[in-house]
Amino acid sequence: MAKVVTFASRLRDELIQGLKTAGIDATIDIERVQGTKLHRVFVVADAFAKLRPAERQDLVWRIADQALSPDERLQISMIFTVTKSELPD
Amino acid sequence: MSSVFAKQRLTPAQARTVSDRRRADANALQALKQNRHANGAMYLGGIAVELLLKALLLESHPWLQKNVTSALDSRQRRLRDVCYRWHDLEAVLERLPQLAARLEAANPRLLQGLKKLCAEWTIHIRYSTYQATHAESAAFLDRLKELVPWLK
Repeated sequence: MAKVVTFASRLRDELIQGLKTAGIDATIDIERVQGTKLHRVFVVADAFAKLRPAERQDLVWRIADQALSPDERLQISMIFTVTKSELPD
Repeated sequence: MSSVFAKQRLTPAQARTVSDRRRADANALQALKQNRHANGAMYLGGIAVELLLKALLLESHPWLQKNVTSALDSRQRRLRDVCYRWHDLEAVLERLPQLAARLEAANPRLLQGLKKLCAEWTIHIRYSTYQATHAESAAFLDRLKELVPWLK
């Protein structure tokens, strides 16, 4: 049976691959925002510690931009870019 | 405590006026060009965005401006909390799909810029030991300057 590639799984794969190309090992968690068609994306990588918040955002959004169509981009509510230690308890 | 600064519900117009004042405060701090004031400038800049987004939220859901005493359903309670109890820019933006569509149609970079700003900013800046630099707050306020006309 053909594998169904969802928006979330495709975005996850693209972000992991894109960040790997930049030398960053990341874990990606994507969740649906309740009551909307939106997705909330958490990108967690210790290598972000070397980058400013704006640099992290620019890097990850650049990868997402290349991977997604304009309509698909509207499905992203927010992308959070944090290190493990910055994750809330 | 003095009641001069007592918590009050703002109309959309008042929220926009207070937003302008907080942005002016942020710019005044930024003009000092000192790293030690960067967190303060970003904090106040984020508050200015929060006020503009909440003004749009109040206009999209006029019942929020009234003292509703009848029972609210869970969705309405959540909306009330987003408006009056939390300082979660993402949660506000999620509830403004018309704004997102308008920004995306005008220029996708605008919407992306707003999402980046909302992801970077948190009310916890006021407690944070992380010290942002003057360059970071300058970039933050530049992005804010570009966005403000679209949020009014």
